[in-house]
Amino acid sequence: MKNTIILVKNQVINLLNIGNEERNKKETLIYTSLSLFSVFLLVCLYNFFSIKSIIEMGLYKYAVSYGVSISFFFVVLATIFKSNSIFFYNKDFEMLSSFPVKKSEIIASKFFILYLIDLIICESILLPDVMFLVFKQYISIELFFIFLVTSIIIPIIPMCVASGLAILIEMLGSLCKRKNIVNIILSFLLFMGYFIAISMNRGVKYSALEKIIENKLIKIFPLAKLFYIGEGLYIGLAIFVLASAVIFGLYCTLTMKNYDKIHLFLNRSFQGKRDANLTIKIKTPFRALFEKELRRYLGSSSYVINTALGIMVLCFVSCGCILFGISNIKNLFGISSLELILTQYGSLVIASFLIMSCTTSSSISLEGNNLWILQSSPVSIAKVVNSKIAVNILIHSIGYFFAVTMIFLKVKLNVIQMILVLVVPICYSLFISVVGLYLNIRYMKLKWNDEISVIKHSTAAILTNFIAIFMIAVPVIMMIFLNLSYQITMLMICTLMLIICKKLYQVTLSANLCK
Amino acid sequence: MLKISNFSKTYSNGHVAIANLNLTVEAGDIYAFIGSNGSGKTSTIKAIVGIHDFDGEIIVNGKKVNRKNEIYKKDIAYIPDNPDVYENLTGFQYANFVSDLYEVEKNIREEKLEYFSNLFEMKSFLNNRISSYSHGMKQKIVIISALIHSPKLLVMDEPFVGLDPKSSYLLKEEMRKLARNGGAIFFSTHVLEVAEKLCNKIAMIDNGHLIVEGETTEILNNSDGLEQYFMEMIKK
Repeated sequence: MKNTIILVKNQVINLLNIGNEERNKKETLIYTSLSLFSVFLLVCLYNFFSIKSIIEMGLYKYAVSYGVSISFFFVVLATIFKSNSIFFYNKDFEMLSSFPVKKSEIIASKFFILYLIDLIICESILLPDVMFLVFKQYISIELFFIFLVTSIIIPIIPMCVASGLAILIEMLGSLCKRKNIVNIILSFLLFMGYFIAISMNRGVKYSALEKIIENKLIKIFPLAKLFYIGEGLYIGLAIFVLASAVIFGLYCTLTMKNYDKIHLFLNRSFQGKRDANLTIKIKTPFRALFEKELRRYLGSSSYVINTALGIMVLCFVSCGCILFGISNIKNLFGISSLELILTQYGSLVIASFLIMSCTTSSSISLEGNNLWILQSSPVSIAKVVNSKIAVNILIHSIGYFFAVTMIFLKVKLNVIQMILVLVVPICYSLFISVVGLYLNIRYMKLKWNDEISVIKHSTAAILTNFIAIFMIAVPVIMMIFLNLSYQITMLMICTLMLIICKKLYQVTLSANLCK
Repeated sequence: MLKISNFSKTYSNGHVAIANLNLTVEAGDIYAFIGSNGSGKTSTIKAIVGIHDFDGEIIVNGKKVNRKNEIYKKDIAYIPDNPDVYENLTGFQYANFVSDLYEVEKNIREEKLEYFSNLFEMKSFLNNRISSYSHGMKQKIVIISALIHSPKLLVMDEPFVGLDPKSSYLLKEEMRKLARNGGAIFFSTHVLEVAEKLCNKIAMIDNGHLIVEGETTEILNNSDGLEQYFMEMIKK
């Protein structure tokens, strides 16, 4: 246990980049804590208002159940994309194995780290939920504490389910030569399948809001039913605790006891043909850097899934709309005014998907110990910077192509709307690519053990996501509070973004990658 | 070929890695840079190849080392102490990637890659991912990739670590060949026997200060072997 605590402490320091001597420790700690706290606060606020509206509708019975369902969804989403990286692709496993610590203690420490991250997600959703209920006296203090204690157990089931599925997907991928591509496709299909299953309303015609909400909650997480406030709540909670214990036990038996076998299976690599004909193709330095960057990107399924999920969804929905018509997709997802949204705000919808996908915010950090290759090579920083931006823009352009084609084919637009659909996403794409890279150079994290700590949890990645959300919210806020037209708002936002983009690009070009 | 004048390196935490270093490496030299751990060898080497910022002046083949002008790097090949390379690439892809950055012509690339991969017995592993390589094989692919563009100055940090005896011998032969053809080699090593036998010039540093610089033969004339001499110098 003592060793596990030491290992966890060490991993937390590494995760938060506190021990990095390359930058001022205090500054890094302040920025990381601030950005994490801002995200936590933002999620809390969002959930607070969601719960408030559910309670105001007189549906307080479902309030906790709603929180449990939502946290299940987000914990699954967060875990499925990072558990393998923490458990099986972590660089420190071999090093730790050489120390006088048991393998079970190393695995336990990794499980605990994953649990801590998931617990933060869970609490950011559930805390405002139960606090609101107790302040408004819908539940007693006693019940508040019971919910608080139970919330510690809530991440267990989604964690085990998601981690188990992630291992299964990786194992299936490991059977194929193109392991990463198979992993990406399977993860995406699983995610979309789950999303469609939640969204599908076919054959169900509920008139009462209560029934609709109940139906959705159970679809997201069937065990959320056990958290309905009312009679039988205590029995429900007891069943939930029992179910968590059973699933956790099953997970430990199946995966952790077979850890070595899974580790070996996932890390095997296909050997190339020894007598293969190796043809040399000459490329310009930029093209070589670009292709290397693209290979690096596609070579890591967690990098792709964590940075291109929005683009994949955009492509998927756009293709769906082209093939089956907007009305069918609208019914499938239950968005009644989809056509109207696309006509009036189509450009912002596409831009929102693009801006949430940023590869550049971690692309320099991911060079890690390989950065010496770029530093010692006769290539200018402009070529390095441009190659990294180009990869992000290439990924964006795939989503952009499908979405713009869909809107042009399926939605009637006037000339101004057409121009906006073409121009606004490009501005957003350029903006986030440059901002992400700038932040990555500013908060470079070259010492890491697992990619996820850079792709998702680094200061640069968190700040970039924060800015992306902000840039989606700003035009909406401007339209509501300043009463501006959509066209004027987007013109102002895009001009501002391009100016910032140009300034930051210039700063990035004069950046110093040398220590 | 390499002229280091008034060179100092101070890290952001205030630690002075090396202070006021002056040395010159001529064409044809095989120059060993010797010192204890943490004496400033790697800091100097990283400054020469453009990884570290520094104070002072470094000139490579008549071109000033300058962060804003990377053209001087075309004359250099760098082999680090740890072969950290892109593991998702194959050896062949990595060697080609480096050659693309140095803009090596196709026929030269083909010829050199064939020659060096055969020499270091890496030909049959070129199509495998670097992630499947051993430490020594990674070191070899870094060496092969570094030599393809025929550098004028070969800068190496502990190049023999991880290499098998045959590869070590072959690398030494390549170093001699490069020096004979008018190039220069500047490398750090802890293996004093290698420095004694291979190098015509030696510099010793201790705690960031140059303590000895000169012809190997001269240094050996005044001592009972390089090891003995080094121990005496660092005691002072």
